[in-house]
Amino acid sequence: MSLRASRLVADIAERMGFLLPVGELPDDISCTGWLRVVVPWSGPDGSAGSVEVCAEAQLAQTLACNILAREAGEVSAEDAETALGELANVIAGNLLPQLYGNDHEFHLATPSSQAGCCQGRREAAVEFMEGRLVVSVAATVHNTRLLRRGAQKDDGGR
Amino acid sequence: MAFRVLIVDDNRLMRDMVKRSVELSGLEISCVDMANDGREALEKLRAAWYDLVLLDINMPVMNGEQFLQALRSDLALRDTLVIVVSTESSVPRIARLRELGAGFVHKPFTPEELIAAVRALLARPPIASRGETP
Repeated sequence: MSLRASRLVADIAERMGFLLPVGELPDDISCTGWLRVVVPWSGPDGSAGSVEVCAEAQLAQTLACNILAREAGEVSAEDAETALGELANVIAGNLLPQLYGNDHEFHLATPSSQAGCCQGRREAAVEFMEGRLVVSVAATVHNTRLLRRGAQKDDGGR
Repeated sequence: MAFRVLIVDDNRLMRDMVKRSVELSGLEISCVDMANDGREALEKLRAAWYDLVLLDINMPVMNGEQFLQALRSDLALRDTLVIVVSTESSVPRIARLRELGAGFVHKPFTPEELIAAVRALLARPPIASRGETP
């Protein structure tokens, strides 16, 4: 897990949803029972994968309230899932270039809510005043340039 | 000048959020309308006049880049002001969008960043007088 990625996620959630970050969480934190949104992506030369965002229900509900400028009782569970989906979309759009470089084009599909815990490599885990959120990236990487970039990132992080 | 604004995004919450940012930006607005994708936006632009389009990129049916190409190929619509509001970070793709005459605001954004992009776009000459090919 990367502190840089956690800071990116905290900044996006704060700017977009007015959530207040408290600090980074341990990377082995369980997200069982949380909401989960998956954003499939495709990149250069057949590379593909998904960015997954899991968040506690309270965080997603507060996010929806803040985005829609409504009170807590005025947003539905669907609003909360939609809000988390859009946050996941913005996180994916910003995180993939951070991981693989902004000389590649990534195409994001529509976010969807799915059951279960985040799959893939944990990239960020952040605690907010409003609840906890983790982000992981699963990649089916067939692109040697992306692989090389990922390896360089891993080496640099040690 | 009071702007007629068309917001194009497949996510209804993001459309509402962009609308609120437009309203908070200080820009004089006479009308804000919404479209779910590029194709619906083209239909609305052919049916009514809009001064400014705020455009997402990743959308089903017709994405933002396809919409921009179609818009610039249409003699009646090619001068429409467009600001891309997107998470897009790819340098080559942003360059292509700018070549198509679009301004750019990166998500997440503030109302101040949006109004700055509108002002920068208004200061540029229209597409037709720049001699750009669609």
